[in-house]
Amino acid sequence: MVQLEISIGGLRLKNPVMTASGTFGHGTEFAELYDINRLGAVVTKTITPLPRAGNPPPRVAETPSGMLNAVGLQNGGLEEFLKNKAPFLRRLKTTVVVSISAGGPAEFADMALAVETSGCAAALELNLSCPNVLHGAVKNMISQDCGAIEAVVSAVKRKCGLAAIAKLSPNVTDITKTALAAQNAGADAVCLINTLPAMSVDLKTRKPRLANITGGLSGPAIKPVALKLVWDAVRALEIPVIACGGITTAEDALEFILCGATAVEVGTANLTNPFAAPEILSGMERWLRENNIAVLGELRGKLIA
Amino acid sequence: MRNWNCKLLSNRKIADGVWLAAFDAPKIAAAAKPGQFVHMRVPGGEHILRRPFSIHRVDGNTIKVLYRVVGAATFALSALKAGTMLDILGPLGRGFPAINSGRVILLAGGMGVAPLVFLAQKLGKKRGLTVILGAKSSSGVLCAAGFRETGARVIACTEDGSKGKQCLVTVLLENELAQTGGKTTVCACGPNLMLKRAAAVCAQFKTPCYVSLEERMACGIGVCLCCPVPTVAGYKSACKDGPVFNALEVAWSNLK
Repeated sequence: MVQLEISIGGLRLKNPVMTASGTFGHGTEFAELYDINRLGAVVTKTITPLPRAGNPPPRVAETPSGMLNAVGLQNGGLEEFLKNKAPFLRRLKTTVVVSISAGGPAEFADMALAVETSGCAAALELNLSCPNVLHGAVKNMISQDCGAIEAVVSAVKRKCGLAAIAKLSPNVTDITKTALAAQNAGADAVCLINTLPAMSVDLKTRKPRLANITGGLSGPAIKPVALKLVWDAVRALEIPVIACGGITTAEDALEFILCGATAVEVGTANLTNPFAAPEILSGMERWLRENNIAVLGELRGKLIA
Repeated sequence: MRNWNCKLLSNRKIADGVWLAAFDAPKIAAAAKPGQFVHMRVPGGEHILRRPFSIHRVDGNTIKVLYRVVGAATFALSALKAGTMLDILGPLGRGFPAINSGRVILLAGGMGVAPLVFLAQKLGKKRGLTVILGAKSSSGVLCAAGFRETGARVIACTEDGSKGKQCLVTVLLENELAQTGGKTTVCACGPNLMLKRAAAVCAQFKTPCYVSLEERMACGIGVCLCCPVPTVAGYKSACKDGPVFNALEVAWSNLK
């Protein structure tokens, strides 16, 4: 038996395989396919205080080894979540991480408290980095602004006792600065990376392939970018780094662990293979067993470099 | 629904740019309802997403898929030889409702025949079935023989007059509905503009109309929200809430 247990901000996860927000809904569809309680954690689709219609179609385009999306955080809002999604999540026997987004620190904190009060989550993921949702006068992502990161994280931590994971954008000059901003404001972990702002063009029609013109790039194409940023962040931080970006196989996941990640989030792979997350989990166990590693921690951060 | 490893039995070109693939897929064949689709991993190339295809026919343990070669993945699919194993997820989505009484008209524009042959197979001879086929020109009028096999009356039209009457399918639909009284249900698939007109014609005659809509898709199971269809109740997902919708439910003015 391989020891896969990990801990994030006082929270114990039975294994490091988590789902990436927005690629797993609230878990109900996947629960029809396999026992999602096997996963280390389920991270739900981002919810916002009020319902959001999302962007018009087309919302998705394919690029080499990647996928571009501009869903635009379509969701039914906090009230609908508490009424229709929270009861299912409360019954799960694995760690539930609820992803939230809001306009500013006070709204984030109110959302965090409401989710905590509902008793459906063990942790929050603060979506500070959706490229389809921009904020402020300069129209950037919260995670492109260290001051905004600190304001949101500290407001949430002041008001709510749940562990808070800051999901960060790769689109910054220096990932260690934004990651440290999250850590200094009290984040229990950071998750990186969210999608890369990107676009795709159809030369024949001379139109962008997404109605929103730009979107977020994900999938195997971005894995090398994610590896580099995780590697950078791990060496600067004391809090755990959760890796996300193109993880499709157990080997992908283990490469991130080798670079120092504490856990991994499986995203686009859930969309291309609905059994990706449990397959990655069993593949990791198998690889560790075959390589005579009894505890996952023995591999963590052991990149020979 | 789940994924199955299915053997490709045959894969051949049946018209200009249009291919028909058959798979040994007993579990999907047994569960499939007309209007549902399969979500296929097409091996080869740089694409990572699955491709959705309407279930075109079910014959015993075999399911058939009719597809047009439009991009890298469908090109790769057309190159696959019999014997290749494919990862197929299905059957997925909400298909056409069960139609238990009255007459049925199927309306297809071009590749819109894809889900309707299976529907005609299921409706069978007992239902007075009329199929209206339309395309830009004669080479785009597909599957007339397949529909006739089910006992359906088939009428065709083309925009250039090279086959049947020179008109749009919705003109023939209007004629049919004007001529016949009694309960009729219309099931349609084709370009959005055609479906929009069909919905308007059916509304005028107070005839129930179900449309199979297409949208770019990623997961196919309703989690990623990449395939929104504008409805009177806001966006719904083509993959899970559809691809078949009651025409009255669709917000046609928002459908591009």
